[in-house]
Amino acid sequence: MAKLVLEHLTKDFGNVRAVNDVSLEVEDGEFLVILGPSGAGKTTTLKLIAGVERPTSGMIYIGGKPMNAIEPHHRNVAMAFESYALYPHYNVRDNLSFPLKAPGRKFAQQEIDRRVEEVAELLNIHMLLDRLPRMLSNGQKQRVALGRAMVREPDVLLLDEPISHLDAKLRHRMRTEFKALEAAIRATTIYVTHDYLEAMSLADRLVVLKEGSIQQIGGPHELFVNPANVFVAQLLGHPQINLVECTLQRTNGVLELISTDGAIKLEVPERLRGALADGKLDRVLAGIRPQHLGVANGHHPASNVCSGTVYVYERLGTKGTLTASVGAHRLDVLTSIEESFVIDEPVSLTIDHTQLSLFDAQTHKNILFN
Amino acid sequence: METQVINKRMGRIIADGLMVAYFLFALFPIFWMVLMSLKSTDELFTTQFVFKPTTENYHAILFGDPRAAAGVVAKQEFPRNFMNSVIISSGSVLVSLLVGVPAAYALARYNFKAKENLAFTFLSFRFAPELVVIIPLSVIYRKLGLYDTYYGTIWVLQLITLPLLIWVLRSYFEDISPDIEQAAMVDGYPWWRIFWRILLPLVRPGLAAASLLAFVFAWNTFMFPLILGASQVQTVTVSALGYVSSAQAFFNRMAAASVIASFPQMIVALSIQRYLIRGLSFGAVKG
Amino acid sequence: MTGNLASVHASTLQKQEVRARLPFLVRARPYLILLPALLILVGILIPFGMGVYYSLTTYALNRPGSLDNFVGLRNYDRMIHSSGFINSTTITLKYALLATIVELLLGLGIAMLLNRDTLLAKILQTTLIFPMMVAPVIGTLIWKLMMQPSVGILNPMLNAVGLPSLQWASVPETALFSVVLVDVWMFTPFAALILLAGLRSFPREPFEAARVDGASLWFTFRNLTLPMLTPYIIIVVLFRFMDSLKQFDIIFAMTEGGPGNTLMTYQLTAYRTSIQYLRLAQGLPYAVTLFFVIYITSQYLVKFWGKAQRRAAGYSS
Repeated sequence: MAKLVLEHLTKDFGNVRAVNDVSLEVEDGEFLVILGPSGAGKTTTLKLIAGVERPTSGMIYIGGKPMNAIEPHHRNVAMAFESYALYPHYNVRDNLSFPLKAPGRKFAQQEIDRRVEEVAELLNIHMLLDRLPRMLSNGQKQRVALGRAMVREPDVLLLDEPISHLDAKLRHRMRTEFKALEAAIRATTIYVTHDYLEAMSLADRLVVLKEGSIQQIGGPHELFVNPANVFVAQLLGHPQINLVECTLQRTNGVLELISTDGAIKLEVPERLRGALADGKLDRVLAGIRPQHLGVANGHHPASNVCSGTVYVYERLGTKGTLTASVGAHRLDVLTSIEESFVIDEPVSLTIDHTQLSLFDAQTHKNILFN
Repeated sequence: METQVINKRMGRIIADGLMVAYFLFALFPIFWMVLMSLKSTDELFTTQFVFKPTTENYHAILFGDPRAAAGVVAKQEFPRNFMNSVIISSGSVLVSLLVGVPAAYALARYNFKAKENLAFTFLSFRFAPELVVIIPLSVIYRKLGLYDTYYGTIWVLQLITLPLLIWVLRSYFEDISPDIEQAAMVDGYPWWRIFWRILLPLVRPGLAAASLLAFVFAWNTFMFPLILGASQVQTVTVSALGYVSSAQAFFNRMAAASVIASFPQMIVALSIQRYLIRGLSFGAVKG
Repeated sequence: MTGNLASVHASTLQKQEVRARLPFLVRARPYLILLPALLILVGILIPFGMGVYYSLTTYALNRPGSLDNFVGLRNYDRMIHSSGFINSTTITLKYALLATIVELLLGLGIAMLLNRDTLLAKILQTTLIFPMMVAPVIGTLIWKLMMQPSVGILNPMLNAVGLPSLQWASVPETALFSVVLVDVWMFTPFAALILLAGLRSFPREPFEAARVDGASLWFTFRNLTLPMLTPYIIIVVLFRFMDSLKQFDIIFAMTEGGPGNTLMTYQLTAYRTSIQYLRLAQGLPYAVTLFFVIYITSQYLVKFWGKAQRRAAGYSS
């Protein structure tokens, strides 16, 4: 267990910048999740921390000690690879015990066996101990990779998409297992994923990465409610946040947002008025989450309501998603499962304007983050 | 419908027939060589296929022939020539392994500017006309005292064994995902242990096959021992010519010598069937 | 956020810089493990360089002091204008082209025959490589023996089907045919194996789609088989053409370049002039010229192969 510090870390592969000026401090024992789409640089960042890739510039500190000049096998870091990277010629037991038999590590054979059994039980692979990797399913391989990383007690534990190749149900179960495991894993852990549900559920803190650059760092709820830019807003939440391009207008002294096709009118909430006061911005993207839209029936106030027609309605388990065509936009609305809609039927939607996020239409940054 | 079935049958018979015809062509000379090696000298010039097989030829080349006339290549030389071939071929493969395995790894994993140029240069050794190197070496070796020595021949044979090993092994190393090596690094192993415990076991079958193939090519080489060797390191390939250009043409002895000299290659050929294509094409074709 | 960072910066900056890079030996590792191979490389380039140098002198082993006589490209000029040059060039090219083309076509046929799922094909395939495993010298001697008028079996076989006896390599008319025959016997297995691997690597879908679409056999061959087979064909051509341009063992064992000068290819000429007549500077130009021809041609073929590979990969996606 040790504190991990990344300082202006950059990694170039030829002309491609995979990691761009990443600075991060991870507290001792913290469970940090790095979330981003593929190609965001998540795996590269992990490999830089592990030492198997060398940074183009920047420093890495573990436990206060600079790591740049230290080779991977001296860093006391453990990593579970997304590609599993199991040793093909060793069976599961030998794969799991391999890290414990490394030169310089003095584990007694008894201790080694004990730990291997423990981890195998934990991950439900104890019946596979004598099998070779080529005889395992993807899910099993992934658990062996995870086990191999967990079997030591490293300072830093790096997990690269450890459950992404499991089917949906198994993934859900592993997610809850992980949450329980979190307490048991005392190492400073970095968990990398492209699945925002895993991120939201497991993270103490969340780092959103896009094309090598950090977009935002913070607690999962914070990022959800106050996304730093459009990318983060779109990444978190399903269905995706609705984005409407609007211009600012003053009507009867009230600051209003009007969509470019005029179909939607929104009142600017109190908390955002300050940021718009200088009048420099005139075009914004209004971000409205589907749960903040509702189907109107009856009383229609003039603004914060829009009307359109039903495009598609999906019932998914406990919630329904209504996609409505409003003007030139398609808006997703979360509804209860009891509703029913007919395609092309006219529908009115209410918008809870107090929950809006506003983004500069050009820079895509949240206006509160300037 | 019936004609279709008949046509298919006919097609298959013709195809099988053509195939067999080719293989008769391919294997007949070898078969004939074995036949010749079992013919006694008396029956040599008489009948073709009907004769009394005898092992006198093998006996003669292995243990000496009291009937040998002067001027004929001394038959007792054969075991010695065979050993020379063994020593030179194994020696050059060994050297190529020690030098080529690390080089193949470097070419597979590391990226540096001159990499492909370097790799192609090694390849060019295989395609270059040997005399362009042998002729100068025939002068240099005499000056350095390497003429007609094991060391000299082993060194020169690198022209044949090294490119093969480097290119084939490079292709096998490239087949291993770098993630596996990285996992071992993170697991706490220094590079040489990773090489020994992870990489080598994984390329071992390909390594063995490539080594055997290189051994065969080194064994079969003719020009190098012809020009840079004389009596001390005469190999079976060079001595084979001796049987024919001698005063008395002991074709049957020559056949026996050829059979023994070709024996190791046939064993190798049968045991590395799986790796033949990748080996022969220097890793270009994975088969 | 910057608490710890500040304290790290507070420590001397120089220490940081030193610790930011791996120790020298670790960084130099890739080059160190290449070192032995590079030494051998140099060890080969030195005699090569000397050979080129010799070819620019009048070096002959039986004439002391001839090495010191630098004459530039005079030997090359003499080579080109010598009486045997055209013959040498012609025979080198004829041999290489003939052998390569026959091996390619015959190999393709055999590959197609072996590409079937029959037991016979599987059994025969294991023996395919045998002719290539025999040492070229020994293989040639066997054929030479079979062609021999007294003990040989080829002429009796020809006679048995009503064909006249041949004099094989003893006469200029059939000498080339005889050596190419041995070359074909020896190396067609190589072509067949490579092309068979190629045929076996084809994805089935494009062919199934073509059949569903009602494509003719020729169409399928021309637009599917051939493009996907091209990289393999180039490999065969690369190895066989380059090898047969410099073929020595077979020709030497058969006739040592004869009868007369019929089969005096470049390497044979270089051998006779430099090794037998000891006139190194006179024979080396043939070897050096051949080297450059082969070097340049093989570079083109390798590039060509890369392109063909990428193109063929498009068919399997």
